[in-house]
Amino acid sequence: MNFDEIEKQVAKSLENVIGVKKGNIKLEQRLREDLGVDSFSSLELLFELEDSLGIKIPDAEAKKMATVRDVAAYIHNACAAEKR
Amino acid sequence: MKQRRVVITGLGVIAANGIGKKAFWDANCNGVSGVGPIKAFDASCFRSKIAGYVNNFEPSKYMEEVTASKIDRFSQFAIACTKMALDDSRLPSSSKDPYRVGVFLGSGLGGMFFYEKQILAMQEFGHSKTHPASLLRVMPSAPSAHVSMEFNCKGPNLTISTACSSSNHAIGQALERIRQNKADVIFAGGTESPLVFYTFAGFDALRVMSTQACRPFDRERDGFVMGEGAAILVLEELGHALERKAKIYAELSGYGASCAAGHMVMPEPKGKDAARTMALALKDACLKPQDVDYINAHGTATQANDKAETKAIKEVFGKNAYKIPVSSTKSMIGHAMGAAGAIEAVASCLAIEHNVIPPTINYHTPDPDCDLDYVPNKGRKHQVDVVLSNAFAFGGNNASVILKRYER
Repeated sequence: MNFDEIEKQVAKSLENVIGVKKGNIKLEQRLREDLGVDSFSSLELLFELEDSLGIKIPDAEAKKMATVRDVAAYIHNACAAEKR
Repeated sequence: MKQRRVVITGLGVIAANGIGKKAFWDANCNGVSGVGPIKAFDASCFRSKIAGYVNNFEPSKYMEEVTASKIDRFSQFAIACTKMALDDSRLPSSSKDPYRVGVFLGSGLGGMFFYEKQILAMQEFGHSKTHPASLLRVMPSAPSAHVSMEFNCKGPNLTISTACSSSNHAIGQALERIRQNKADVIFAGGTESPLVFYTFAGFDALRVMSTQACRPFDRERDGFVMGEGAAILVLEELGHALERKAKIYAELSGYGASCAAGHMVMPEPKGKDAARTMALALKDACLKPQDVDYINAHGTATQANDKAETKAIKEVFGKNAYKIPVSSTKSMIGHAMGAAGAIEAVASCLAIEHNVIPPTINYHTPDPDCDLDYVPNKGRKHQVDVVLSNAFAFGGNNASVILKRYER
């Protein structure tokens, strides 16, 4: 999966979790401050991503993610590491 | 001090034979059945292969799609019915003090759709497939919580889970709460969506479901038909309703509750406990047996219930029992379990409004043990001022409510 595809999946999962309209999610947006992702919806987001992408995101890594870009970048790196 | 009176000012209903009060009532008066072959899962292994499934329910007509996508079907039903009831009541959101508005719902089983889905996913893929909101979707109190959030109800919020009498208790408890001046408006009712493989297997193992049709009080009756649905009634303190010139369907005037403390499944065969429950409701309403114009029976169509309920009615009403029309609307929609009492309370309100008694359909062969007037197969024009509605549940848990045409 390339970065664009991952970005699309992250946006889709966010849409499912917080009900934002399609196309309105930007990479630079902050999860908590801009998108209203609270501690509970962050769990839902993690579940959606793990479920749709078949990956595992450790809680400690998830805690470091502040923006949409952080989420996509982590997944991108994790997928790349898996390939190597 | 004079007791606070409680009236019903709005109705919302979802049943197998109709969504919304008009469709539901038209179907009821005309004896239209919503029971059919099960399509949601493969029922070929079961004795019973029919159910009262709610077709054509579109959650997005009543709530945001993102809300609907995150909750179980029984919570979707509850929100949809509350919206219908609220619209019907024309209760303006500005006129309500949110701290005086409560939500009292009954649900016998909880969110069975999501529950079954989760267990199967866990079995196949392990614990990581457990959604973080899993328990929040399944818990029986999820619908009352969602209704409070959707409609900003900050008053008392209760869920009652007593199997098939759940929503009659919810309505009765709400009545008492308004009488006690703890709330002015309560959305009361029940919701259930039990039509999944697991629930079906459980009732199949108990051998209590019909293989043919729901035929209450008929000699050939062979069990209940599982149904689903929900109903919400807007209960309002009389003064509150009069002040805003609300349409009043009926006064909720009595509630009786008891437990047989005998057997988990079988009703007490002489109907003594059921009779006591009806008598308590009459007493609470300050009415006499001869005041009752129509009995909406529990009438599940199991051999045991219908026989015991008939005996109980005779015990309370004496010779008059033969003159009072008794019908089971479950014959048309199946048994919606924890929602049954609320759906039947809506039918009772509409019977008072239209002076029509909905029939017991699928009635063909009289049973010497069940020899009352069951309003067979066709709705009937009849003056209806007072209705007694029964709900008797597993665990010997009984609840009866009385609805009465409103008079000053």
